[in-house]
Amino acid sequence: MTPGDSPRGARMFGILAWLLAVACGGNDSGGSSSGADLSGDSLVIAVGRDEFGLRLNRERLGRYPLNAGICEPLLRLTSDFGIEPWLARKWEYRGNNTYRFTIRSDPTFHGGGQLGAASVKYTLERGIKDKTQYSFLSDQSVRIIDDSTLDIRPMRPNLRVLEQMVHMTYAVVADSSDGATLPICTGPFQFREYVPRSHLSVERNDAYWGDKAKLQRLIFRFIPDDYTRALALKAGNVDVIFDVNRSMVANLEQTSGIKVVAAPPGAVILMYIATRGKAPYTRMSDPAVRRAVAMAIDRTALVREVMDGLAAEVSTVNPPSVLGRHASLVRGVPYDPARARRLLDSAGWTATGKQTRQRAGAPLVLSLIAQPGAVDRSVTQYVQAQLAEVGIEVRIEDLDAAAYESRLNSGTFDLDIEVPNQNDANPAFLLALRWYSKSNVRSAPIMAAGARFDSLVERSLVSVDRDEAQKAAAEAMHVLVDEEVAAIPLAGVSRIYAMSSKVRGFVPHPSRLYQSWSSVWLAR
Amino acid sequence: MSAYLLRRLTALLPVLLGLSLLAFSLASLAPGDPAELLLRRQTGEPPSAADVTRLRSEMGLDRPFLVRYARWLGHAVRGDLGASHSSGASVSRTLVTNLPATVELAVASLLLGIVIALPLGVLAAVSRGGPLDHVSRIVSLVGTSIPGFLLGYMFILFFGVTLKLFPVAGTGGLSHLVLPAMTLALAEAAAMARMTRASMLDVLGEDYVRTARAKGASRRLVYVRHALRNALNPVVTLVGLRVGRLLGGAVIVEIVFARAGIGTVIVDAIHDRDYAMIQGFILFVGIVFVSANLLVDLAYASLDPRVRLGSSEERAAVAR
Repeated sequence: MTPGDSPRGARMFGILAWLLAVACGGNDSGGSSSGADLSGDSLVIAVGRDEFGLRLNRERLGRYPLNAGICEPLLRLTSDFGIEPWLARKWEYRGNNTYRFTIRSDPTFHGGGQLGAASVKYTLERGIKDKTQYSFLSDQSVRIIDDSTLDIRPMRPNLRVLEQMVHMTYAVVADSSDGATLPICTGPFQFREYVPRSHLSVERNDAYWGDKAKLQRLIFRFIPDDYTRALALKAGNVDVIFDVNRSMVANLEQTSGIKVVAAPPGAVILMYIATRGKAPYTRMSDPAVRRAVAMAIDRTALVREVMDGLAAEVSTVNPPSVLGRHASLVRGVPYDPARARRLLDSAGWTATGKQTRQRAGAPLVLSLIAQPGAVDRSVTQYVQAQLAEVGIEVRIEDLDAAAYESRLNSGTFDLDIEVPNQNDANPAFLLALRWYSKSNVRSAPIMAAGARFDSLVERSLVSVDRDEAQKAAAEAMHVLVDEEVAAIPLAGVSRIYAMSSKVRGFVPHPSRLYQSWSSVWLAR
Repeated sequence: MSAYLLRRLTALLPVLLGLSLLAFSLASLAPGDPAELLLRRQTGEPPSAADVTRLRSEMGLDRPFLVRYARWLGHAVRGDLGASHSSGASVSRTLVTNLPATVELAVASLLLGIVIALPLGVLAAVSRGGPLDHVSRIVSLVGTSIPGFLLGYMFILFFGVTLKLFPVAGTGGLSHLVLPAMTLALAEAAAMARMTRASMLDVLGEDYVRTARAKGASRRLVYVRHALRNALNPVVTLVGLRVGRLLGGAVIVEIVFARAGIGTVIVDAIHDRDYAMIQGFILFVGIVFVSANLLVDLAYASLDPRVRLGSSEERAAVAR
């Protein structure tokens, strides 16, 4: 008997057929659905987790940590980590830790309203109130000179505030803007809709003061799982995916109609060292052990074999271009396992054969922690294997994010691997934050790199000339990496995007925060 | 019946109280400082000690454990589970807002599981040792042994990428529900089909079934009205017990399919060590679980009058 042989069977069959037809009716569009409206001038971009729900990010909808092209800063970060005028037409140093900015007169806010010095002051003071920004700015830091001119003076010596101004947390918003629900700015796209954990969509700003965007609409869909993002691209549900998992690159490259694009390196896989760890985590206070660790790790093989060539060899703790022509001052400790063994022998850490080295009966065992979600396990395992070759036993501690932070800040580790991103043009950014003894960061005293390093960082912070600042930062980094060996850069890493081959005009920026979508268009 | 219900509800109170204490303790005793973690997530770099202290105070983490627990419980009994540490939003409202999507998925999976399991279990039982029984066994084995996330990826690959029948991810119309529901349903169907088969085999050997056959009842009448109806009791129990598991499974499935719902909320909360949200979720799932068990018991009671007589004296009186 077939389902249609009886009235009840026919009814059931009809219902099932209808359900199947509805279900197979393709993608729903708009609203809270997948938003997979691939027709016309819309581009669907799959990104990771929706982080706008986090308390401090709530006021940064469409700006940080995902830049949807709604807002713009005074200065823009170039792809070589330099700065260029943007909403600020020009700037000058006025002495006394003060920069004067002249604002462009042509930008207007979405829906009307002129950009002016008052909007910039409003933006900066709002950021200060929300405690969402670095740079030592206070509510006394911004002074309006006239409608298009204002002075900015940090409360501590910090001439790098200029290079920090590119950061999207300083992007200018209208005073009528609601940062959490309706961001109103001057960018090439204007806010359209935000559905938490689902998507954020923006539309072209036809009144934009610069080159208008080629696409009518961008839809950022939040797909936290790496593999699902890649599969959504393969299924044609999205056009572009962020943060392609390295293990999927080869597969995507072989898929017809999909191309993989790597940005220039914008981050470094970096090994931090507890030079002043809390007992018993004191092994790394010995400079000989630190140098031996650096010499025992073959970074060329790490890039080639472990990272499948999807990384770059670097000697610096930030992308080298942020140091300009001075990057070569930082040479990095060369791979030399034989010398590493000799160094350890001379430091009293001896062993027979491939056993773990010992000194006065105590084994040379190091505790390695890694930033959860940022560092691939293959990297920590590689480090473990390399150090074992010279007789150092590494214990990898798999910690959740909170436990990791706790261990990091209490100095109860020997080695820590993280992947800090460079999101502004400040050459001393990471140095001043993580190793400078006067940094507010709790883990800084555990990793301190000495007085000479501190004075070079301070010189970089107060240099008017950018080249001077870069030179001082490079010298500080030389002390950190080559002399003190308080940090070991392992590899420069890039953000990897994959996209439909119909996507044209995409120019990857090393920092995802400044990825522009204005020039992107879809081939028919 | 009302006395029975009252007894059961009274027995739930210590269970829920114990659950609330457990939920609060587990979240609080885990290593690490949520304030520190939250600040790091928002800036990308380790926070200053002053910022951590300020946020700990804002989050109430600087107060003693018992003070925090008593305060939380006092609010919880009024339906207020506090504010999320990571987003600042009301936990109760967040759970309620995201509940419909998860319930939609859970109900769809349960229904789909039942639709697959009952015929499969019955057919396996009536053709014991035959090809249908083997097919049923294989389907059950596959459904039970493949982890939900892997099954989800397999469905995405086949139905989403290869056949392009359904969207791969997101929340929306019915088309977005099919693959996640199928993923969850298969595991449910596997367990239910095996239970249905075993229960049917037991019942088919009973005297009243043989009597029905001897009276000339049709096969369909014997299987459906006489056998299946009585074989369903253990299946109903199983369905009740699977509700909690279904919510747990929904967490994984929602992540794989990027579906909005309580699953994604709780995974984010665990990443952020959002104590308030984790505690609220555990309590919520606990309440759902014990409520489902209560409903199963009530369903049992309505199917079998002996269940209503809870005390041994009452049972003894009936026996006499």
